[in-house]
Amino acid sequence: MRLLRWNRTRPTDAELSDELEAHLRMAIAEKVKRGESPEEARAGALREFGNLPLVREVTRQQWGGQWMHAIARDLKYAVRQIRRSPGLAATVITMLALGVGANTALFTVFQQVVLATLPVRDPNQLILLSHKSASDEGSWSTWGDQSLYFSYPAYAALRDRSRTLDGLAASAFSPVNLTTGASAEKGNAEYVTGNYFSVLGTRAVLGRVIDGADDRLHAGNAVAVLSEEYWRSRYGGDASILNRVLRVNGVPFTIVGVVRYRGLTSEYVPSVFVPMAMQHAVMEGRDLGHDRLNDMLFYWITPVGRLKPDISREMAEAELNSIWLDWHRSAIPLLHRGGDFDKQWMQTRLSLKDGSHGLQFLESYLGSPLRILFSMVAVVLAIACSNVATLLLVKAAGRRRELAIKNALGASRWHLCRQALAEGLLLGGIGAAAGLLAGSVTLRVVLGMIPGTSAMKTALSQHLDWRVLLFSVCLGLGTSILFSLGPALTGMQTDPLGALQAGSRTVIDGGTQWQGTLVIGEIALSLALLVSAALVAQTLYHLRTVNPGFAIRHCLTFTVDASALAKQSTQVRNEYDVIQGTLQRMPGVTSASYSSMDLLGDDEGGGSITVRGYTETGPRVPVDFDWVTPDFLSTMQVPMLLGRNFTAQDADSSQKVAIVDEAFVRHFFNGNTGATVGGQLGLTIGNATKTDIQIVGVVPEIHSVGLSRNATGPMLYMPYAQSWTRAHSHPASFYVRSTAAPGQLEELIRTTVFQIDHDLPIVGLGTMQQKVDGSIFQQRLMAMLACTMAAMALLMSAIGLYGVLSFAVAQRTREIGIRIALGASRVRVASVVFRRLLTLMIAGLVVGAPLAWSASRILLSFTKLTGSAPYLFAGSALVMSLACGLAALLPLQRALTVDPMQTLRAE
Amino acid sequence: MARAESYKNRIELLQGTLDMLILQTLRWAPQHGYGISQALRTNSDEVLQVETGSLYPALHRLERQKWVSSQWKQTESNQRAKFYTITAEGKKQLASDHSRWQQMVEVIARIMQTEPEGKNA
Repeated sequence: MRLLRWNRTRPTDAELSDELEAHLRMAIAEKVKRGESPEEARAGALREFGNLPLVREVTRQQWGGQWMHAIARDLKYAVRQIRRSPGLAATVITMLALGVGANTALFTVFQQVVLATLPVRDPNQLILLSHKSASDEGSWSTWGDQSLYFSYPAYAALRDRSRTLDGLAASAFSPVNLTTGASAEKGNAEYVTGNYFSVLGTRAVLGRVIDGADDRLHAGNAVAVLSEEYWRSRYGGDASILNRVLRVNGVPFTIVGVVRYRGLTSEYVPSVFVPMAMQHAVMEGRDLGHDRLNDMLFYWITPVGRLKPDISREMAEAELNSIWLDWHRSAIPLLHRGGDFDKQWMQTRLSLKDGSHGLQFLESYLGSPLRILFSMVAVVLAIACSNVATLLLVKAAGRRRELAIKNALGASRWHLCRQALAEGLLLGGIGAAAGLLAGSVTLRVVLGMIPGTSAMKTALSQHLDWRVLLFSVCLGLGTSILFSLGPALTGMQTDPLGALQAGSRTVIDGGTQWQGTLVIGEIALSLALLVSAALVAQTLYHLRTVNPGFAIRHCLTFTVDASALAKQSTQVRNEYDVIQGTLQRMPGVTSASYSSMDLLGDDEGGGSITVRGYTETGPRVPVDFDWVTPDFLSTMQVPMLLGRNFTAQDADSSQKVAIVDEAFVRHFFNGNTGATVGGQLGLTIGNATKTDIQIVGVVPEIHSVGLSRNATGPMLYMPYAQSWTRAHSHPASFYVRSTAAPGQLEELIRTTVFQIDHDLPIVGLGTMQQKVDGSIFQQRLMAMLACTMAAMALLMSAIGLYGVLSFAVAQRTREIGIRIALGASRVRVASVVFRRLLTLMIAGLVVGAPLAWSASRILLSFTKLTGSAPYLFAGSALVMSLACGLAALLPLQRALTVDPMQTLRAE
Repeated sequence: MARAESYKNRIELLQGTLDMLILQTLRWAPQHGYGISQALRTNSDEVLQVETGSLYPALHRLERQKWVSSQWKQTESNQRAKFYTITAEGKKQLASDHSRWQQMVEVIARIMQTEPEGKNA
């Protein structure tokens, strides 16, 4: 309302001019009437009137809202300045867009991986429990932070006795097959305790959530709550879904609700939540009678609790620790272990972790690379910023005369400073906007490159939220203020008399020194970035040359899961055998086999074992299992070191056999390969320690999980036919070695598998080489991003150097002209530019060397990167010098082609 | 900006008085800026010469305070000019300014007429 009125009553500039002109006209008219000549009258009237622009200015100041007016004028001026030198503006905006864009893109990811909190009520009150025990054994899940997994009895004790927590819930999850009607698909099930949703404070979007009545021990309700994402993607948000039946691993569940919640980790999005009491009906190994809910040594659930409002984390930690130790003590007689185990069992401690971010699995392995990349993009932005400052300083130096004249004409220093700031802010604003756009485009491209198998695919989105927007805007404004400050201060310091007297003669002053300092800083930072990027790239190169231990070339792989179709185990195995047989008969195929483990799939499957004659002294080491067909090892070209391979005679009903790798021999048989063959072992299920499996062979170690994982635990191969679990999830990964072209063979495999079973989906069909690339994708991405950033830094500092040298040449054109006219050789002239180049470059490299060295130290301490070869430093310095040399070419050529006649004439 | 400052000082010096004089001039009829300056000059027997640098800021200030309103009209000599009219609020302001001014003149006059007592020059 006020604004409207203000607008209506506020006069315009045009109206004011009219009014004052009318005044003049009337004054002239009257003087003419009195008999003066028109010229005299006009001159007299003007004299009496006084300084017309000044009157207009002081009158205008009465209007109020002066500052808005001033800003508008400054902006208009800034637009004019920018349009006057579009090339410079484009360079500045491009550099800012690159700098801000890279930061925006990375911050988006950083936000999601590190900063994002769970979308629940008061996430800051949530806590996660983590334990450290001397007796820790292999846990149910081998990925993520193992100390976050607890046994159900331990959890129940903490939940029931704690007075400092406003509830302690727990969950676990597993991949499942979800069936409605005729179609089946893979999904994730989250097993939750009855208080889970009330502790988190999550309400149902539709229907109800799982509550305590659904989760009574050994008598739970078969009810399921869908996640909103699954509900929307699978059922199109159909509200009539309530009370329908959904089969989870073949077991019917009634859908009772939908929640807007993605679980504690962003890596695996649950499709369905079921009561934890129902786990026995659904989870793998259910037919083995393993009672997970009573197994004190089976660590498989993740507790999450909420602190009471006035309780600190330390207080709760003290209380929970005493409960935790009490429980451990009371459990000793039930464990029947005795001796060292009991001592280790009591050496345990509980700590509380901030639960507001959920389980940050991604953070655990993306955290450090992201932090490194973040510091790299920050450096790139700093370089961009100082580069823009350099360019603007050069421009400001060119405008000294103009500024001096303005100052002499009565413009205040503050006014000039404001104009420089306005120009900077405008450039910064456009740059930030362009950066936001560039950032989201870059992010889309990079995320698009993530292979579908990577967990990053589900966890990361290019969603730009307000935090990202705020971040980019602050970044843009902050940097623009920084880089416009230099030119603005130059404007402030302008001494009108000095600048005017100097006329068009050279003015060498602090401005030039500033530019030099900035360029030296840029070169130094770029060198540090170059070395870091080289280090990262070197690691990637090392990874690429890692020998996986099996033959990669001429090998295709894919995974199917016939058990997802609710078939009997024998049916499933028959189907796999049919597929294998068909593959072997295909043209060009030399061998085909399958195994339960997806090689290089970043998925480990294992557990603890008992070896006859071996007593564990330290903590138990988890062993990886793989069930394979007899020709698996030969297909993958893994040689037998000792003993025999599996044969078709190693069937379900015959003597159970196993082949182990050298790591296994080292750990369990003291490296004695000979003694290993013939050894007996057993899989530990609960407290069962039957050692009914005989070792028949030894093979070398292979990188089965991923190339970037250095330490794979001891490996145990067993015949697929003897696989111990009859659970429904029973996938098979096929390996086909052939001389045929991969493309053709892939097509053939697709059609063949489809002919065998119309309902069997093929997952991850591709060459083994693609698998290898996927396995080192993260490192590849990191190397690529690091190199991109180093290249950007290199380019920017080259541009900065170019700007400064051009300026130096432009300022000395006259001097050079005179020198040449006086007979100086061109070579001597060139040395003017050359000396400046060398000074800046050497100073930059000298400053940059310790910087690069400490950057490489930090990088090495942060990651598993290895090596710090001096040739990386030398190479980086060489590249930097080359870039500097290239940047100097054009100014050098300009200095050499100065026409003495022209400069002298201009004098 | 130095000269702008000096203008401001002069306005401040005259401020209350100039506003009052303008309002007084406008009491009889709407008038444009030039007319006001001429009127002040003639009515003061050519003694008071208001500078445009003071007059126009004052007029715009009065308008912003809603003591005068303005509109474009034709003058007698057929020129377009911005005429200012005193508003009801402006009349109230003029009355209070006038009485305050009168008080002040009386007080100042009293002081100027009083002979110093017990003090010898």
